[in-house]
Amino acid sequence: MIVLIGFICLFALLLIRVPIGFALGLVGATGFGWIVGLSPALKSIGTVASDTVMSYDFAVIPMFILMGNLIARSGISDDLYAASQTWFGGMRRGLAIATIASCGGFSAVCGSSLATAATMARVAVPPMRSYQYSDAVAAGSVAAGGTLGILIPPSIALVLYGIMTESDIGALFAAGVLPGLLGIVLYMAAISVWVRFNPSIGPAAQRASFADKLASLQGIIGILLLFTLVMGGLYLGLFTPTEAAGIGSAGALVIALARGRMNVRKLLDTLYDSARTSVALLTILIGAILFANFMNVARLPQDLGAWVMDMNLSPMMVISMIVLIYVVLGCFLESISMMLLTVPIFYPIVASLGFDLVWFGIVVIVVIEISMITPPVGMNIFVLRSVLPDIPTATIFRGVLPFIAADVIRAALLIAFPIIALWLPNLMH
Amino acid sequence: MTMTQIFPKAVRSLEGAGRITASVLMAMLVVITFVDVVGLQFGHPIAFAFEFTKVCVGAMFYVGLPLVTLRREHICVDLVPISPGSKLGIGVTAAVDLLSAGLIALVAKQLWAQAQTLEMFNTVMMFTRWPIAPMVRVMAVLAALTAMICLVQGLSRVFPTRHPRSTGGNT
Amino acid sequence: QEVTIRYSEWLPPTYFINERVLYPYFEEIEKVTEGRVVVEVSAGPLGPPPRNYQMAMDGIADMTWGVHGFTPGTFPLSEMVELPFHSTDAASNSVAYWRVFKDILEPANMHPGVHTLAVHTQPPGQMFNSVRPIKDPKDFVGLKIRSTNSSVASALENLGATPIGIPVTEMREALEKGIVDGVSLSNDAIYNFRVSEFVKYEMAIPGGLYNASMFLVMNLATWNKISPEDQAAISAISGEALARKMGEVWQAEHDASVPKSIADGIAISVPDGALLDFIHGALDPFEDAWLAKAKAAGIDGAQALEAYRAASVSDKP
Ligand code: NA
Ligand code: NA
Repeated sequence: MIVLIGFICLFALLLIRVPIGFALGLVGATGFGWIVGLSPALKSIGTVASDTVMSYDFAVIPMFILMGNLIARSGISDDLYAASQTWFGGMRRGLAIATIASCGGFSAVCGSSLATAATMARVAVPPMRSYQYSDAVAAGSVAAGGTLGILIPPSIALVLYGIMTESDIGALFAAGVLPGLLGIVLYMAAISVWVRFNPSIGPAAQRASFADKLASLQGIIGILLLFTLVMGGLYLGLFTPTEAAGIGSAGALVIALARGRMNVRKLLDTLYDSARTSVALLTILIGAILFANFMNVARLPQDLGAWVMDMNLSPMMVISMIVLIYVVLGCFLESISMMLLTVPIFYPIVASLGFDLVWFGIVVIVVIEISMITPPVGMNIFVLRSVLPDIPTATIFRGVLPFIAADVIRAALLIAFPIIALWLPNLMH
Repeated sequence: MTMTQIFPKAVRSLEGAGRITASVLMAMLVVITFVDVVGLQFGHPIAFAFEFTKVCVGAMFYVGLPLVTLRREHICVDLVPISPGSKLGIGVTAAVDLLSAGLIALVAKQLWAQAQTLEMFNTVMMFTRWPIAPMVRVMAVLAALTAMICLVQGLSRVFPTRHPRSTGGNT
Repeated sequence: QEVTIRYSEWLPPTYFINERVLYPYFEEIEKVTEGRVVVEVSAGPLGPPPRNYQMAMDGIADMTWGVHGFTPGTFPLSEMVELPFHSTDAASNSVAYWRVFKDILEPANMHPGVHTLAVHTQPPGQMFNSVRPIKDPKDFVGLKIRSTNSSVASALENLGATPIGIPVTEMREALEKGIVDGVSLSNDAIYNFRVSEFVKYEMAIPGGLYNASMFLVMNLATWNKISPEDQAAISAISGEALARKMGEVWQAEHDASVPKSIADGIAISVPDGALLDFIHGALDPFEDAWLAKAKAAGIDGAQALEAYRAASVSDKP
């Protein structure tokens, strides 16, 4: 009951445009206080507000945001746009497809979906807009493509899942690869179908000759070098994903300087812009954690788990039920909090039904990806709002709808054919 | 009417200082990581780079918070169109500002309380051994500043005429 | 039921301490109080692990289990059991620790603002690496070792290795990719944190390179809500009995993982002779440093250490 009241209050506050982080925090702390007591609730505000911003896990976010901003300001994004246009632009929807592909590529070096979305929003959206793509397509493809960050390894979320369920993290990483590629294919298909019904949203450009295509690559040598540095360094073991963010930012700065696009004034602007975006996102994270603590003491996860068990369903129905619960909860909860709250409840149920926990981990990640783009609390949407403040929320939500459909299809395929996730890890053993 | 119109000079210089501080902290994040990784290749990493990183992010957040609040750059859900100039719009926005002011003031108070607890326990960072209490105390002060910004923004909507006129008046 | 105790869960439910000690202990509480006191395990953590003690003190959770070393500086007296060379057996160490805690440390206000149900230790922590066996002091030089906490970091530094601070979530990847050459952990932890496949050599210092100090505490107001009879019933299954159980289970987990390590091809070497002398020379000063901290906290550290070590040996099974 208290949970329902909490959700209603949250909705009301969001509708009158209380900043999202404040609304989550207010409802979270009040609900927590209702259940646990006033004094602990007040104390928890102080600890969460200081601990969250001093957490290493979240330090990666500002650095990847900065890397994206530097890339965007260096003018490389213009060249990337030019190259993508020459290569894919001849097709309708070409730039949107190139966006999805770049999101997938970036996910292979970045363990966080928020950071992937933040970086690609800077790199991919301005070119698409300048080429008259509708804001919905441009923002939607980045918001959705960004979710791949936690599925394609490396992935902070998969590491957490592995530790929580004592599953093999290497196997989880391997299991994420094919579903990630499937995600890329389905997202591209979603764009194709969408543009077929409404050609004006993703116009085609001139077809380019092969010579032009080769020539266009010259302009993106910088970004190719940067990607090679970040990816190569990661896979050769020169640095961890978090360190890659720092190196990537430094590299992007070098490129920007080399291209003569940077001076002290512009550098300060870029740094401040990244700080501003990070502050807006971390504010929401603080609120989201207070809200998750409220859900925790309200025992929502346990109640849902008990409810699923009580219904005496077939194993397949139980999985579907759990996925449905994740989708609904995912509308309100931030992804990492949702994992920490629900996985310990659901994975024993799933294991007792004889399902593979590595496979379930991938299912969880895929439904968590959905949660990042569903209203009202969709972190990737907020990333876009913060990087591109002139695109209205409603437009972004409209833009992600086709991709949510693609995600649902992917989840269904993954449940029907677990081999999609398990083939690669099985190959390893 | 906004804060920037009410106290133009003070606000502008404070804002400028804050921006530079936040930018420098952001740059430090990258420099620390870069020096650490390059140093590691030569066997001399910054042993506890990740703790410097944590401090930088924490400081950057609380330095940036008043600035982001001042410029109304917090992320909101704008699903329902409310015209900002209408009577309803002004009323709702003022109410949201005052609510935010109260909420952040509470956060500031609780951060201060948390700093006191940390001080009582002499809690330090794991590797650098830096005391945490002073950092949290600074966070509390900056949160209090943010609450004041919200309060003034809310009041200036409720009583638009009671404040000095915007431009030129007090330079 | 009269009192519900909210326990903040921060490790996987299948973690051996949860399965074999804490959950059975929670059931025992319910049984000895005839259902009047029930422990309710939260779905996820109510705060980060270093906040565990403070969460119980503030009432954010009613009961927490945690590691003193996660908040360095806060519990200097707990560092007594972290010193090298004196781990005998986790059960004996834990029982000895509990007795010294009750006699000397608790009266010196080591645990303000909570009701303490138990303090205990774990089996010894050692240094594992993937590069070379440690046969000579110079073998430490150049090894990049992920260290558990700052005490271990300074220990490794004194030995000549390069300590590196990497968060636990990135530890496995750092080892896999050779960003670090090794880790400081206990034998059971290399399996529980899934890093066994990335290390080849263990240097098993007699009595350990380090140890860790842990607590199980309850919010005072919550404890006071429990009737005196039920408090007595809970105390009877807590304290020394619980510390012993913690130590026994942990030692068994450790002892089972040693042959597993050997079967997995991890070469275990026990330093002796000149190497051991070198190690003592490098690490013995930590004891004096702790004695100074004990003095600052107003207790006779030498007396506490003596009591702890005597009980650790006499109680050894
Ligand atoms: Na990734
Ligand atoms: Na959502």
